Amino acid sequence: MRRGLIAWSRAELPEAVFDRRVERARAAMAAANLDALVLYTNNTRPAGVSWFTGFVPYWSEGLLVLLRAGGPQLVVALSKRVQDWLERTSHAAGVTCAPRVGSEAATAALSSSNCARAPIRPRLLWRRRRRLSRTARCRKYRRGI
Amino acid sequence: MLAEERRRRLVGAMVEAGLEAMVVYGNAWQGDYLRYVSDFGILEGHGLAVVTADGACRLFLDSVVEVERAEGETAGLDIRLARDVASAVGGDLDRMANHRLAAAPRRFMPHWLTEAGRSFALEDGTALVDKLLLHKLPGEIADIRRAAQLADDGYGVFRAAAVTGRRQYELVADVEAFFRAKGCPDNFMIMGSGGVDVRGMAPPSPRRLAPGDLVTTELTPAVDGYYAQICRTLVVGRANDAQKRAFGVYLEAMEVGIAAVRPGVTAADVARAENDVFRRYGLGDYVTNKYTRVRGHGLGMFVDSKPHILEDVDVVLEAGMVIVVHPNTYHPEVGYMVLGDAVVVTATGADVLTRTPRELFEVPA
Repeated sequence: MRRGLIAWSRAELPEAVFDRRVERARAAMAAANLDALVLYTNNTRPAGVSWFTGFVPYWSEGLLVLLRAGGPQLVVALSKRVQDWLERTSHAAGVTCAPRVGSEAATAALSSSNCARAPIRPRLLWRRRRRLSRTARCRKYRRGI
Repeated sequence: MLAEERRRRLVGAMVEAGLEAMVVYGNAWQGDYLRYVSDFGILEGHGLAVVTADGACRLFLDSVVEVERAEGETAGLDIRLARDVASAVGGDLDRMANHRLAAAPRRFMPHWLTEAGRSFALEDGTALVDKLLLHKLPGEIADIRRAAQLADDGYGVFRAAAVTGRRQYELVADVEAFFRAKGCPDNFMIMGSGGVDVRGMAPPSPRRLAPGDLVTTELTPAVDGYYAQICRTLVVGRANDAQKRAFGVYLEAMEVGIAAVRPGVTAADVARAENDVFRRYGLGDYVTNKYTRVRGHGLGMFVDSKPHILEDVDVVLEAGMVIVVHPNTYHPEVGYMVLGDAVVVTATGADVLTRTPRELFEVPA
């Protein structure tokens, strides 16, 4: 388990740093002709999502959906009572608490965007990939860039 | 040895189900299935174990350090280092392609192992292993009992650490230091402090304790891989009337919930007993998922095991199961409040494992 302080120091890591990282990813997505990037996180493998948002799950799992436009959308399998903590410690345009992160990410973020190509990181996304690809209207998923 | 007893039980269940092998996944978060079959508490990377009906267990790990630790901390396993554990296990299963094979927990299985085109097919073995995890052996209950004693002692440390002006993470540091000193390798702990602005518990923040704060925590230390949990609330200074009144509701709900625990009732029955108390006091909104998660849950090799104590969970309680009953939720007058005890289901009711008094504690302001 993760224990101890989990906090976001805006002095050490300003929002602009996260924003620049997102923009770099968007540039790479555009170059690869991708409409969305989906990143998986849990408390054993948080690095990808943490790099874009600062979010470190102390528990459970989540997905970050990054589209060509709009801010990153974080979907986390934590209860709504910690929404405030999530928003305080993470830099995301939207935070959704939902038990089934795959279908929530697909319906809330991907489907509405009509995205056609969305890679998923990290490569080992386990069974969640099936739920995500079943639910979203994405025509094609690829393993991570 | 308990580990051997668990493996024999698994093999017996596999044989009864006609399975030749079971593939089990674990990581540092969801490590209970893997630990049950291999006795290895994984801390880094991914692990997969293949248990065959002859009782043999091959453990595949993707970390050199973890391989070395597994060799030192487990017995009777064939331990293998594999950078890609899914492919390595796939190679192993190719040799058993014409046998009945299963995997657990299904939702964590590497997609590669379960997709079409493999020479083998993995059935969903999650329910089979879940049943073993739910129904504890006497030795497992003894370990949880020891963990509950540690949780009680840890809460004493927490109370002593709760001093005005201290930051939340300093309290957690004191508790974790205590547990490490006692040889406890793992503890799940979240907390909160403040008033009506506090909606739940989370990892500790830099917030300082202030007079009048409600300070909540749940401690979940492990002994030999088995977790027990306690939830308590304290006040910095003297509790006011609203805090005392609110605590009375939580106390009544928890005691009614524990009184409902016995073989034959469902998890829903226990949840309903707790929630009815809140509804009777006009607090029905606060037992919904807007304000709370579960009204308790199973305990064992995972902090938050099945069954979840919720009004829509129809798992029937049986002797030998261990749960925590905790009507934790937000109270509109005072903020988030918690109270919970670990219990083992006995033939006639519930044996309460945690012994800390069920009080709204007060510490000097």
